[in-house]
Amino acid sequence: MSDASVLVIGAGASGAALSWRLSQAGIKVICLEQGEWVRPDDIPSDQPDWERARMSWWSPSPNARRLPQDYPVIDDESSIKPLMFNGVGGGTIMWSGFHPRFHPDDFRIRSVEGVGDDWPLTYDELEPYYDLADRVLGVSGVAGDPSVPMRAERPMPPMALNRGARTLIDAFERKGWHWWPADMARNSTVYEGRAACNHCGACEMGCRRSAKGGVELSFWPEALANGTELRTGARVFEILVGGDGRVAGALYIDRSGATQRVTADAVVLAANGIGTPRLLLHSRSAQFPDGLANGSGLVGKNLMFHPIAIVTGVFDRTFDPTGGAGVSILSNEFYGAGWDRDFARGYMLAGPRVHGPLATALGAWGQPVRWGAQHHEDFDELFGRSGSLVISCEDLAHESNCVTLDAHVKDSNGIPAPRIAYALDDNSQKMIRHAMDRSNELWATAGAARTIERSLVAQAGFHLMGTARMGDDPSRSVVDRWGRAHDAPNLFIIDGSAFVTSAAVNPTPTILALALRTAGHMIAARQ
Amino acid sequence: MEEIDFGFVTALFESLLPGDSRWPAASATNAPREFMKRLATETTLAASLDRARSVLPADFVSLNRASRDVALGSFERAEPASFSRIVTEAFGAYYMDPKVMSRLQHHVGYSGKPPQPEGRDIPPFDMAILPSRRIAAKDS
Repeated sequence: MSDASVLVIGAGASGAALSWRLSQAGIKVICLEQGEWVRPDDIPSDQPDWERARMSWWSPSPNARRLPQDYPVIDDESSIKPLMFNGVGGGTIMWSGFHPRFHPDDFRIRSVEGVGDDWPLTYDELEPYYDLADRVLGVSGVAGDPSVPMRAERPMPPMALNRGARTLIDAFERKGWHWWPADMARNSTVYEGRAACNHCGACEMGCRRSAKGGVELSFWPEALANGTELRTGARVFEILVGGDGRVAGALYIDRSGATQRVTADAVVLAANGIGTPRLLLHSRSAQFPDGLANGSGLVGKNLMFHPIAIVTGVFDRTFDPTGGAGVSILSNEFYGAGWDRDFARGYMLAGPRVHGPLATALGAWGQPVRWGAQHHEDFDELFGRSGSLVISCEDLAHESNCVTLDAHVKDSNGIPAPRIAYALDDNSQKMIRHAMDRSNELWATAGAARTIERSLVAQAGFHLMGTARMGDDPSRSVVDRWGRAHDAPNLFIIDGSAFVTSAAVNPTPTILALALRTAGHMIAARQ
Repeated sequence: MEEIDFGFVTALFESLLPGDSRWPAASATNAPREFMKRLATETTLAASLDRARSVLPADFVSLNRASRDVALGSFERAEPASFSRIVTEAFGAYYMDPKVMSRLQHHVGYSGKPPQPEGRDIPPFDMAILPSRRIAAKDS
């Protein structure tokens, strides 16, 4: 008899949502997570050196953070650097809570625009799961956005707008461009016993008030109460395969350094768009010499990020003195297909981001402020007087953008590190130019004295997608429409790896919806 | 050795972040001491400082400001990664110092405090500003 009906690897967004749903149906789940729980008191947003922490030991980059639970990511051949968090909650510990859904056409870009591939499912099939995730997580916003399908009222009213947002809204209105308050997995009011946000602006460090809807605060408590067993400090290095070609469990290294074995009737990979292909490629066997579930040869390939560019508007007056705020509005004016452009697909604009003193000095969203006698004058011009528009571009899949195993570098347990190869394609470069031109127009309309362009933010690779893509054709995809591996019928992949397209928006709502949908399918299949 | 390093670091800070009529010089804040604390745990920072000591003139500490700036500019061009590492830490130590935070309060009304626990006081969202072009909400 197996140790568990379902073994989940990874306790981030997708692992939490799936465990929650399965546990409601009484299914015995064991989840293995290489990281640990993050307590609110661990989060350094109340410390004088909070900005410095964000750039070093509390960075979203595993290569900067270098905690014992992190693994190195070899990214010197990638123009975008992968970011992630290894712990209970995964990326939702260090996300902003920005919670936009994919648009219906994002699932059928081949049909709509003749590029990429269509998903084997539709927005309508996912919609109930988007709604479910919104309710569990707690989402602030307002229904009625004319640029997206009609949807239910959000569980909470929109977040308060940071001061600079009003300036930007006025500019959008004068241009006649779409804007809407962003859906946010942050509490604009007290929600499910968790505090309301106090607008500190440090969401990406984690929330000391538990006012942000990380899965460690929403899905996990109930999943654990329902009997799910979550083992932290458990680094999986191999998925076990039985003689029948089905997966049988996993081997992991525990906190003491000892190797442990868990058996299960089904295994679910939820280790993010880099961790999942890394594990599949490392799980070689006589039956799967090129890595588990890699009959198509596509495991690790088609890596997609969202190329992020920014245009900062600099004013000769105070723009926003708060010293830190995430985006609060978005624009879909240039989202999706646009027939008058020289590139395929489109982008989202979101803003305004404003920055703390250190981030301003180091040019987190533009050029670093000069050192020396000019420093203070340059700093004074920027701090509190500037805000950034964030441009998030849809990324098209290419097999040459990929995750492989490095031949030399290993993590602290001797497991090969992932190596990333990624280059911006011509389509993205044209899209970024278009977006920066439009952003410059918008800032000029807003009254900015000048703008600063940054055509690619390298340290913005939070969104890891496409490395075990979904599809109906086993020769052109790794998993089917339910996330089930074509080559191993009891292996599922539910993180961003399964994405066929990237859309131009943050992937977490879609990751959650896919995980909940797969969980429903697994439950139905047992009945 | 530590005192030698401290003198060198202070000289670096005087050039990187000099004071003016509005801002305190980094050398007059706790930033150099903060930087020294980081040397003990940040191996890449210590290595970068070693590179600076190797590349900059032996009499860097006793040079006048203009000569130091020229020497630092040469170091920046010759070893950008090491230079950037030092500048990042110098800025990091400076922009957490209470004297600097106090100056920021006067500059644009920045609170000068970490984000938590107080947060920021922002009025609730005003539904009246929503665009007039809307679609109906779906029954949940």
